[in-house]
Amino acid sequence: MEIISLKNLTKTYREDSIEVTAVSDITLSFAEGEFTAIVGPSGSGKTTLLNLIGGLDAPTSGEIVVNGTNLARLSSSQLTDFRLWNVGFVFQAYNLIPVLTARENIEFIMHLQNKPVHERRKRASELLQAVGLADRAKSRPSKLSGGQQQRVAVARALAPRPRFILADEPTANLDSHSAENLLEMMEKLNREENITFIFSTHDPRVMKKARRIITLEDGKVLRDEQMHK
Amino acid sequence: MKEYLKMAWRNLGRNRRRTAITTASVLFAVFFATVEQSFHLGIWHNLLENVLHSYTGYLQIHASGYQENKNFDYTFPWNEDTEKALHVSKDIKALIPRLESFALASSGERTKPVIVAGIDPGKEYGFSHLPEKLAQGKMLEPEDQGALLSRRLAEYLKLKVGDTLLMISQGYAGTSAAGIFPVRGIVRLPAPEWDNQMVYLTLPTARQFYSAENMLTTLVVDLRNPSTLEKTAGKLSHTLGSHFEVLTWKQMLTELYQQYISDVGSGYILLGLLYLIIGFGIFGTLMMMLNERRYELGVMTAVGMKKRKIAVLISTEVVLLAFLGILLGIAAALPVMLWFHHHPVTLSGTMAKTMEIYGMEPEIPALLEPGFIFKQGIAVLLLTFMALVWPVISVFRLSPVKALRR
Ligand SMILES: Nc1ncnc2c1ncn2[C@@H]1O[C@H](COP(=O)(O)OP(=O)(O)O)[C@@H](O)[C@H]1O
Ligand SMILES: [Mg+2]
Repeated sequence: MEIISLKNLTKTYREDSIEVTAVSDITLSFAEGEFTAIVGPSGSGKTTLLNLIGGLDAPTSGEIVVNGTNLARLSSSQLTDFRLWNVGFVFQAYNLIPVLTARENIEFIMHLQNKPVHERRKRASELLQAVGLADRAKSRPSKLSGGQQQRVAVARALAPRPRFILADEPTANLDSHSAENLLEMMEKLNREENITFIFSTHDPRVMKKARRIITLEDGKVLRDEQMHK
Repeated sequence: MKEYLKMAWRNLGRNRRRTAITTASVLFAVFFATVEQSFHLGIWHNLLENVLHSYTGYLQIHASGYQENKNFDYTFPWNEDTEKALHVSKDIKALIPRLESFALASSGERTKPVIVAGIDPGKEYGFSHLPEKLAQGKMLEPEDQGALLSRRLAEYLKLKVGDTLLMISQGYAGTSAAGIFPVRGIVRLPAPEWDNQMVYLTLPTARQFYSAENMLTTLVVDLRNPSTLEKTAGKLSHTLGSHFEVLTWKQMLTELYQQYISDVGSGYILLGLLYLIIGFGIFGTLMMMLNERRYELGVMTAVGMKKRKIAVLISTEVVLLAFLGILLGIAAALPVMLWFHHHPVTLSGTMAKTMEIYGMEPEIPALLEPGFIFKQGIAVLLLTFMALVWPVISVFRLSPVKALRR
């Protein structure tokens, strides 16, 4: 089932009268349950594309339809709510609120959703278990390794039960062992819970795990391949 | 809100040094402002207590128009029943009746215009410091037919205790008044303009002299607490209606009031400057805090936290900080004020002499009153909210995409 559809999507940034087209006329669609990598050199538009899909940035032209909602129709405050309820974001680093513990970071999202306390507790415990960090629930981010922080970030992204998770170079700051671990965990969640992941990377070992690889160059889709395993 | 308080509190702990410096600056400002006000207002409180309790009082009731034209067209009848009806408020401690007018006093060769105050000795002595100022003889008895003279007047007229004072004047409704009064005592009044021309009679004697049976010109209202002045004046004015004027000392002693205003005002200017500096300090702290946390705020927006909530979080942090400073500042000021309230600063030199001439103790007790201490807190909170305006606007203008690109 199609959950994201992009039509002729273009994003142009203007900085000091210099125009940069970060995403150029991209038409793509994503289905539920995908495990997709967006790859390409630095500056090819990966971050911009993910931000557009997640309703964090507005396109210069083109259309983004997510779960049947055209994002262009939403106000900035509606977009914030849209992200809260429908999108799970994982960034390259420093995803977590430093003053909150791992558990509190996960619960924070559900607090924003006004979920009752007992539900927050229960779901946070489940998620900490799922990402293998039940024993670090009370640690602040600064007491966690980079890999552990990214796992908590994934757990937080999963908290509101979003339709998909957008991860922008989630392994970029991790050593290869941690990167592998994180990817395995994501893959497991995808396989067992049917959670859709779209992540960007330029690490070949991470790419290998994907079932679909979209290659960008200068903001355009160069290749869109299904990997058969 | 509990969640925000928790986060705000922990955020303050992130940069302990900066939090400590900002809190300390608020603490210092509140401490300084409170102690300064305590002394500044304490001086005035002391001065007013002394000056106003020597004659004028904080509040007076007259027939409408008396303040403008002090003559017998503006008297009003008075008895115990109407007095009872006037105790409209428990803030009123006592009502002191007077019949005040002018006369020409003479003795032997010498003649002088004087102010005649017909008083109720019991009530008057309970209100004013008059008995403490007795220099010779004795004070007036309730039904006394004699007179009490101010010292310089007695000297001018060459009168001693036991001598006889002659006075002539115009009485009520155009009658002419003349009387002789044995001098019972001589009082030394602090202010020269009073000491030159005061004659005290008992109320019945004065009424008889002026043929003003039952009449009063003035009713001094003594208050339990001067801070209820305006409130009580309003109540009385409402109860009495348009036939009466209710005047506070600010309207009667206009020169003194001008001095009070400009002196207290100059204190406020100083405090205003101090608070302005503190306000900028808070603003600076806030801007630094926001700058350091741009990325973090970007993440928060990205994962679905509304700007409004972020603004609440930031505001909670700063208000918490301000509260901490205010409470600590007041806590630091209280013992100082308490000490100097009970152990007033004793003055020496010319200031002390001047005060003694005016019959005052040459000391400054610190004023302890919740009102102005509370105002310091409110002032800092207001400043904090002002310092928050721009930071809150910049939160609303924060673009998560830009904040996340580092
Ligand atoms: N907010 C922005 N303002 C100006 N230029 C931007 C902005 N975001 C991205 N760009 C430019 O758009 C291009 C694509 O950037 P980005 O999407 O971050 O690529 P990637 O994530 O693949 O490295 C780059 O040339 C970048 O400099
Ligand atoms: Mg990028």
